[in-house]
Amino acid sequence: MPSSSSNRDRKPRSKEDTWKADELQQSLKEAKRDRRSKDGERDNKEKRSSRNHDNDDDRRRKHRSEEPRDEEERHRKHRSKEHRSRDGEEDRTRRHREDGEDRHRKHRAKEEREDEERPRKHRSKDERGDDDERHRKHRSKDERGDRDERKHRSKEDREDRDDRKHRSKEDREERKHRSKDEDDDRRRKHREKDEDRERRRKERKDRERDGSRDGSRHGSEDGRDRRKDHRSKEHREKKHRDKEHRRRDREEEGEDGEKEREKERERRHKDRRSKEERRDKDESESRPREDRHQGRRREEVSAPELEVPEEPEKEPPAENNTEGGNDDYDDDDFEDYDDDFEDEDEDEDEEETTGPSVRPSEVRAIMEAMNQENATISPAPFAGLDDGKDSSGAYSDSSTSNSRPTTGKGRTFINFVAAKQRQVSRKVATKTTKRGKELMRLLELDFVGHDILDIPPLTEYELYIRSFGSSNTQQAYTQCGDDNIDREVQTEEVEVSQKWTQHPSTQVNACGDDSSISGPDQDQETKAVDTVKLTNFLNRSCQVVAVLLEEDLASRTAEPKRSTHSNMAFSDNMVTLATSQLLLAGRHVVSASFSPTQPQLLLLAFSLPAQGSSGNVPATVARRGLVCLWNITEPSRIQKVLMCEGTPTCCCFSPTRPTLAFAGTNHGSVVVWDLRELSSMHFVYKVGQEEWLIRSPTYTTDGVLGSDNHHGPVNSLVPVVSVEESHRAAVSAEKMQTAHSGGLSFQLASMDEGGAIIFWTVIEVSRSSLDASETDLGLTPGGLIKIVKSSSFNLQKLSRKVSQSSPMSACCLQLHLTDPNHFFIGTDTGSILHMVRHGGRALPGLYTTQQETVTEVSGMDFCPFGFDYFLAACGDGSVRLYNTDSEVPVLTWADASGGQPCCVLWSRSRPAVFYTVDQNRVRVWDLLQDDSGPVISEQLPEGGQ
Amino acid sequence: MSDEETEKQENTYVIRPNFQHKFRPAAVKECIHIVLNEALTGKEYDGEETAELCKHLSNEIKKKLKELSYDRYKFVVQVVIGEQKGEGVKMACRSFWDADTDNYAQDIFMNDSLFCVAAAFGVFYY
Repeated sequence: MPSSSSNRDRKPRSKEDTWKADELQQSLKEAKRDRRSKDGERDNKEKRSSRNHDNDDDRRRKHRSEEPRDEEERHRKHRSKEHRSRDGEEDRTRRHREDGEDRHRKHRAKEEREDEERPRKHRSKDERGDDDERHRKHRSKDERGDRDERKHRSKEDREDRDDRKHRSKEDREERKHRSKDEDDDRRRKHREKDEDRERRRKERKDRERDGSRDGSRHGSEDGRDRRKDHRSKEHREKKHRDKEHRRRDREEEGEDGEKEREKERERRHKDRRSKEERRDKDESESRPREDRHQGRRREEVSAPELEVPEEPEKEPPAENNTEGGNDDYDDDDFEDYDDDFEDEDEDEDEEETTGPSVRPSEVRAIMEAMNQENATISPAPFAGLDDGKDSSGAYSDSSTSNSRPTTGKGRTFINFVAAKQRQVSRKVATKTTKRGKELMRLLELDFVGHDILDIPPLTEYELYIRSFGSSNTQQAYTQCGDDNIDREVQTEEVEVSQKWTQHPSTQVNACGDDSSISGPDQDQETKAVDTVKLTNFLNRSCQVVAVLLEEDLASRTAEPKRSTHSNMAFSDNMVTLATSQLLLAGRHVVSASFSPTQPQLLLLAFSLPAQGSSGNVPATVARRGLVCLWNITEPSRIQKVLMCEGTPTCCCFSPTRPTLAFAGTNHGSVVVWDLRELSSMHFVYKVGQEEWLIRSPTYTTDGVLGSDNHHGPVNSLVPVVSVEESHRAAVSAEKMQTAHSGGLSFQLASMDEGGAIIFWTVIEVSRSSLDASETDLGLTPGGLIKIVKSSSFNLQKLSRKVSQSSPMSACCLQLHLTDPNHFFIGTDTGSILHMVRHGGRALPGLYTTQQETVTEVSGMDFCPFGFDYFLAACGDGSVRLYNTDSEVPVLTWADASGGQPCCVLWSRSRPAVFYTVDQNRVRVWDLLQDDSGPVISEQLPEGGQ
Repeated sequence: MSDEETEKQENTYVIRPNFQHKFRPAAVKECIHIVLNEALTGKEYDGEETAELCKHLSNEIKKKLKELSYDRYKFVVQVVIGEQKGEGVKMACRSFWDADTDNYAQDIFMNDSLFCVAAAFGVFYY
């Protein structure tokens, strides 16, 4: 048999990919059926299984020869659609037939059977009338029965047609075959027809609609059924065999079954979808053909009689066809569909054997069983999956009948989905576990712990700061460290002491330092006031006050003093100068001089102290000569102490004002003190308990003039000034108060023992002339008075003029009071030289005595009242009175006192009175009382020199 | 056929990521940092919003991570937002994984009122 052989051929090829899934499912189904069905139905089972085999075959075939078959299917489908809309079905069938024939010619070599089928199918429509009754019965429950019948009919038709129309050799052979053994032939055909089951199914749908019209064709139903039974049994047995064989194969491949089934299902889905698409496309093409089909069908209807005799024989294959159709359903819509159809097939079979009366109860029982089964399968996804299955549902609609019961449809979907899911998940699970196992060999897993976050709890203080810390504060600025740099340098501290010097020094010392000066502080204070005015005031007022105080003191102590000196007859009282100070210890008075303008001022020149008597006196003071300024009214105090080098031998005041003191020393120098100098310019010496400010000379000629200076002790020092001038000057000075500026420029005459007379000019140096001390070394720093040598005489020259050959030494010098141009020099020869500074010769040039004895002139004094008389005291004790115009004396008192007068003084108030002093006596001469001798001769107290 | 396929695959298992595609905590941290800063700067803690915010943030971070082309990684993103009240907080994670391929990155955002911790775990998918 070509068909079976072809089946065999195909099986091994298709084993791997197509069959296993289905077989497994079928086996599952069988298990279910076993549960449900009774022993009597086993035959049916066998049949079913064999059918399944066939179905599988068909499916395989379908897949392989998709293209050609698809075309045909499409045609059929289109046709069926048109059938629904049109009434004339007979025409259609006829056209179909013709169409089939045409195609058959084209594809003859490949599939002649299909050609046969079609005519048969169409023919069956003629018999629809016979089937009608049964058709209706079946329809109440399930319309598949109708379909079966229709298929039977179509097969019968086909057989007829084969006999009539097919002329090809193969066809003929087949037909011969068939005539010999129609059953075999039919069975074979049946199997072949399985391929076209889908096609037929669609036609069946159409027919169902037309069923009422075809009712009259149901005449030969019973006979057909019987035959169907018989044939189907044979069929099933054969299929069963095949199935078992396949099952064995399947068991071998059991492991792969699931996977393969999966794939297969997917493949089928794809096929369906592609078919649908193709169908839609071909719709337009197929219409003309369908028209022809209709025509053909009509022809068949018009000639049913020809086919009637063959009907009974053709029923069994038709039955097979129906079964095959069911199988087809199985194939297309999977195992659950199978269940339904097969159940119904069984029903059908039973129906046919037992009769229609048994059916309802059985149906119910089966329904219950189905429900149970469905209930066991999870019903949950039912609703949700319904929608998801619409796409496949749509396909199944087109491929299966539209009139299928909805319940069955729904159930099948759920079961399918659940199963699929299970399988998928199982598959995935196995895959992943396998993969996982393999990977675990390669991998190493380990525990890793990480700290993700760690916020420490806030302390109370932080919390406080966070909530309140920033309240009431404001950041004004921020300081960065840039300017916060520390620099430090360490060095040895410098020792500093301040020394200062000032030139010209005005009010204070010319130099000194802070620590050694105590005076400047006081000076600083006095500077605040007008120092000049203050000093002037103080100078004058202090003198006044001092005098007043002294007088006050003297008045209280006058009595005892006077009493003590009452022995001095010519004197009311006397003042004793306090010369007993420690400073003057060991010294004696060498010379004294009153100020011509201020008679209370007295200068006393003291000799150097005797050896050993100056123990407490500083050496600097003790080795120098002192000159002291006394104020007679203040006998207890020395006004100023003046100090000079060497022993002062004579002293004098400046003629107009007692601001300067001069002294000549035994060194032959002339020394000047400026009494106006501030005390700060001089040093204080501590002598015993008392401090003495001892002034150093402002100017000294020591060593300044060299050979021009005196070469012997200076024994006379006389300012060159007339008495009138001096008086005038004193008056004018009193009036004009110009003590500083005027009256200080005068000349000074000094004479040493050698007879050299030097005239000095006293110059007041202005403050501004800074170079005074630098150019003149005799001037002390800051000193303002200097004396300059103007002219000099030598007594030796003068004596030659007066024709005295013997050398002589000068003893005293006296100037003419009114005309200072004339000066008189007492010599040790007893004569007095009269000389003129400027101009010719003075007359008489020499005053002599008539006495032969040569004696020195120890003192001379002019009458201060303007008369040209002068007294001279001589060493022999005689006193002479000369008129300046005569060489010889007017009067001579020889040895009047027996003593040797050393000094003679004319009285300043009474012109006829003069005084002489010798070693220890004072004699008072009053020419008006007694011109022969002294009026009073008084013994000087012991100690007085 | 399927058997053959798996057998073939056996030799092609990728058990290590490409070096370019390795999960790099630094890059991921930066990613998280950006997301957190964008979303949380200037935010005050609000208990009701936080749940939404967490979801939003974790989705944002996940989205960003996917853009980093870690093609064979699965991500787990965890975002925790809490209020700053001065309490101490400690968070830790413990993972059982292949330390060669898998890693995690985390970043913390803090301001006066809230703290937010986001951790992203990258697990290599063999």
